[in-house]
Amino acid sequence: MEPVREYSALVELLDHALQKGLYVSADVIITVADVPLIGLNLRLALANLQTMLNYGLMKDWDEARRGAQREKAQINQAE
Amino acid sequence: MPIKIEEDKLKEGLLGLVVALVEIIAEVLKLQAIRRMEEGLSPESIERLGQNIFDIFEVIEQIKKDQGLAESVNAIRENLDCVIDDFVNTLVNPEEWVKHAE
Amino acid sequence: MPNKEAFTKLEPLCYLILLMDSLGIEVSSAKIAEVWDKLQPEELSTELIELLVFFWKRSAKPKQFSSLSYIDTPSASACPCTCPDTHTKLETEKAIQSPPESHNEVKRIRSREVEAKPELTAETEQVQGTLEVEEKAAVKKESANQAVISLRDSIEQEQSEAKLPESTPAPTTAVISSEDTGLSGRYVYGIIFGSDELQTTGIDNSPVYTIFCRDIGALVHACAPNPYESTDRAQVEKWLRQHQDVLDQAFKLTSSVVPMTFDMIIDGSSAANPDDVLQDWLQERYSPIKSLLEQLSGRAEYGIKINCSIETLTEKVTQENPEIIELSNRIATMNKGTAYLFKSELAQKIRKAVEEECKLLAKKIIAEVRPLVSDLKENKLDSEISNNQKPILNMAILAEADKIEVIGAFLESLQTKSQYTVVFTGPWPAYSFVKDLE
Repeated sequence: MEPVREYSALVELLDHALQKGLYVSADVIITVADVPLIGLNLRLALANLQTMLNYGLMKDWDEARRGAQREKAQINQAE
Repeated sequence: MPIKIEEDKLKEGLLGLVVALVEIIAEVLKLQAIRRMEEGLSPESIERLGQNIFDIFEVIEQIKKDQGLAESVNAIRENLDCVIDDFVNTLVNPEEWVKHAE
Repeated sequence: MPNKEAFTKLEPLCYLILLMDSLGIEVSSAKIAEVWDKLQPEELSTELIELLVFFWKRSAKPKQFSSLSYIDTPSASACPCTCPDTHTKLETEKAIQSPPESHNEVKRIRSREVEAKPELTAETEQVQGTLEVEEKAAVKKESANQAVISLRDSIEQEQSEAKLPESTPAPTTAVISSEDTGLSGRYVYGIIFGSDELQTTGIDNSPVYTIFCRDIGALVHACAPNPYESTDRAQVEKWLRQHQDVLDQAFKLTSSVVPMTFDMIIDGSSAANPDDVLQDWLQERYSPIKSLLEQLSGRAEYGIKINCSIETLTEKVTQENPEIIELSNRIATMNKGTAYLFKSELAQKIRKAVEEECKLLAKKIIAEVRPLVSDLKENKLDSEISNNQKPILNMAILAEADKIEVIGAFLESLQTKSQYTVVFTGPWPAYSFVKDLE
């Protein structure tokens, strides 16, 4: 089933943002009835996996995965 | 940015918000999937990917139907889209900066 | 070694030179001798010349007393005050009609000045000094008047070849009483070409009149120097309609109007006569306004908005765009999951193609309309609003009256043939084609 809305500005924006990559540094305070309860100190890097790899982040994970895939392929070949 | 919740429409409001966010993320995932597909994926991966994303949306639609959230979700998403549209227009057109400054 | 006689003449001589220079008379020894003789200096004292200079200085503030500019250059805008029985240049303060007969009057006038312009403290001392002199020089003042008048006459003889431009009736008749300080602003509706007077009422039923400067005129009404503001929407709409009415009438009368935006008010409270401030304002901008009037003459602005239904556009695109056709065909062969993803991609592609198509159509229409009009201005498109109609074109055209039929026919053909919806409005005063005059 297709979504009703074909085009959403927000979705497009997020798509482009992921393509470029986002780095967010934030302090978040969660309050209830004006009483601060929870604090969050955040540093966030958010992007496409391809973009991540382009920037050199998550290389280790990528290597590990490729390693695993290579092994799998070798096993299949052997069979 | 305060999020206000009306008590009698609590379920609708809260669930609606959650489902709206899930739907937005799902759509972003779909777009990202299409990009990956263009960059190169094996046909089985594409088929698996497509099938899964399709299923996700099916489930979302089902939830919206069961809980009667369709209207609420649409409203929330439209509002968010308007905010984004205004924001981007202001950024892109320097004349708008002047107007906002006044 | 200069003799004693020369020394006694020195001070009045200096003042005389100053005076001549300010009046625009050439300062050469021959001229000085001539003027000196005319003035019969034996009857004049230094103090008297000081007095004359003082009056001249006070009255020669730039841009405040524009009626004083009549002696300078041919481009002066104020009336030619050639009548010898009107006020002399030196005594033009607040449109005094005749030179003061008695020194009492002079005293009164000057003390008024002192109150009104407290910043001229340096001169107030001089005023005190000259006040005493006044008592002594009452008789001499009379002769001084005559002398100055004759001086001015001779000046005018010199400058008779400098033609003063055809312009307004003398300020005396056109003065909206400057006593009425509440109405020192002038609300400008627009600027017309020609000398026809438009009699009508405008915003809040204020009487509209014209302030001329050479062959152009500004349509104004007197008002307080504050903008018309209101939070009542109906009130603002009423004002706008009245503003528009005045311009429509002007357009019928002269067929060339430079419209002003709503709430354009010139503050004339700094001058004795706010009309003069407006005249100066017109004078400064005469050339650009004149050329603008010529550009607009006989033409009016019309608005054209064109929409097309999204359905028609999508159909066109899906049938004609090769990329899209190819993709559709491929999708037909795919498995469910794959097809799902590719269908989304197809939808994206269609959307982009529709945008491209819209731009192309807009270009085509503009190319067809451009040769028919004098000027064309594209405006921002409305964001997609009503029931599946996509806006293609939103523009303002400046067209001559006789071209309108042709343009109308073309737009009709668009509407019937290609299923566009066309909104054709006008004629409006040419707001979009008037560049910023400030």
